[in-house]
Amino acid sequence: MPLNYLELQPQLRDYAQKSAAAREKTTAQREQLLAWLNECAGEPRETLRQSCRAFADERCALPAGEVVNRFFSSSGSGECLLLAADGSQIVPSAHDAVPLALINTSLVMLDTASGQAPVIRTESAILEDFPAGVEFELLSEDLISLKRDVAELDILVSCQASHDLPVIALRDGPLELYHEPRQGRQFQPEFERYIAAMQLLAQKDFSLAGYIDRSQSTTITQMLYIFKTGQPLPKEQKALPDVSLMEALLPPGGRSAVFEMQSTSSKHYGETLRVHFFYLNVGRPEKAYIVRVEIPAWVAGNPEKIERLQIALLEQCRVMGSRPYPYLLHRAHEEAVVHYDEKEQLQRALLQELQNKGMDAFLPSNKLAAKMLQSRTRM
Amino acid sequence: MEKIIVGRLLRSNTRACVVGCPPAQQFPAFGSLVSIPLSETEVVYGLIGDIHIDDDGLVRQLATAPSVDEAVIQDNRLNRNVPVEMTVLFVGSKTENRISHLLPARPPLSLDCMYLCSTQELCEFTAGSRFGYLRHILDAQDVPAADLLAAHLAQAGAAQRAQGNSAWFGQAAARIITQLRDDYPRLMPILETLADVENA
Repeated sequence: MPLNYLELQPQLRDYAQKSAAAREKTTAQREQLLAWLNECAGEPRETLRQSCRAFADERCALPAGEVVNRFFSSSGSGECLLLAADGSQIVPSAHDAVPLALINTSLVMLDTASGQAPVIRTESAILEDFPAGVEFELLSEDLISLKRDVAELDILVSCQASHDLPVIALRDGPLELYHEPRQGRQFQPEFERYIAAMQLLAQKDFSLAGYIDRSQSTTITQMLYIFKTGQPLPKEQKALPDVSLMEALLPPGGRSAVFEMQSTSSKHYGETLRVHFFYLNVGRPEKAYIVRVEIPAWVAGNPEKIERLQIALLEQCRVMGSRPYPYLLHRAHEEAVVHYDEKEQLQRALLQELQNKGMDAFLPSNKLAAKMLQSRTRM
Repeated sequence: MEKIIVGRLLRSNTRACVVGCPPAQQFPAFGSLVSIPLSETEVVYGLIGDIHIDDDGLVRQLATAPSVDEAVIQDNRLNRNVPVEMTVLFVGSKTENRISHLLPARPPLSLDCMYLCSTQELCEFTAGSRFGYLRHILDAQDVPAADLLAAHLAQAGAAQRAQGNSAWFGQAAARIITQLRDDYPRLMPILETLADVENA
């Protein structure tokens, strides 16, 4: 038996009890933060921004212009060309017979007024960067993820909008690359490519947005702490996620004010690309569901673009019924995801090619071979 | 006239095969006679005995939404990799222009093309008061045999009638009665479905 259930049973009870207690604390915390947010709304925007900028290394929200405790509803339907990009990757393992790194990116394009099926494109690329030999030079998971982020933006850039409809370009996850720029000779050029792709999207006037489901971000909470106490929340103290605060503020379909993102990497994005965000309630009256939407400055500065984006996201989420999530992003994921059996098939094909070149000493590690042994069967 | 591919083979055995086609495509009706060429001179014939449309998690979730946009329906039919699966019951073959009602010598292979037979081919296959292939339908497992017989006899009967052979349906029914004369529980539901065909 893999788990000791006898030992786990009391732990499960304890876990549930602690969770219930934590929830009570969260409710009280949320009430306090809401009161602070309302107080904050009366303050001049520049005062707030200056207090937060005094802690430039803190990840924190900066008011961008709209009143911070207001919500914004949208009406009507926005005709547009909607693009969704997603990517997945194979991360090489030293235990595999042939370590293989791959990025698979998909783009799904929908003319929202056409009633026609979306157009789909998939691009697959094997990453080869192994001057020391295929067995010894493994690309790191971090670098492959960064290359995937770049590939997602590149595939959006490559889209040629054939008509005059406004274009919304969605991707799953944040626009601000987490902990970027990473250090090292391989990371910097990738980060520059990411910024260059964002610039191209700005030139094309595509409304770029990163959709973040179940965000754990605490940037607004941090802003409120700085505003109220003059100090950011101590690192060891857990802040309430923004989504929890927004649940109490946003009605179904409503979005929060737009905020600017302050972080250590903000300076790398420049004025046009600087990351902004808002929260959106894509849920129902009886069940709020708050998501975070990150947008670059060229979208954040244009109320028409924001409203169109809000309408498009709500329409896309509505398609998925009781579990709202943008349909097109899900389709992009479906098209991009590389399943385990596909990875195995690709590795077999690569092994065959290597054998054709007279390289036939590739075997999985003994550890992996032992794990792959067949389990017991019945006669 | 160039024949149109209505599907490609997914899996097969000696008695039957499963063929897939995109949901958006006009697929053959239940009971239709189809052909799968094995080579220039060899063709396998079969009847569509079952049509299967699978779901998945996304389709189930979309079905619960208050309304489904046309674009989403088209996306699921055209782009998503869920083929309509058709079970084809082998009923005979043709080698060097000679039709046989025996099972084919070897089943077709993955991705072999399947074509819908024309009225002329249907008449050719069912001609000459030779009804040996009906035993494959009567012996078939996991398909609704009585309704498959009814659907096939209705289509073949109409094709034969159009060629001036109005006795064909009666002859086929008589052959089935002879074959099942000692198996009353199986015969009765088949006769009932055949009566429905005649009255239709």
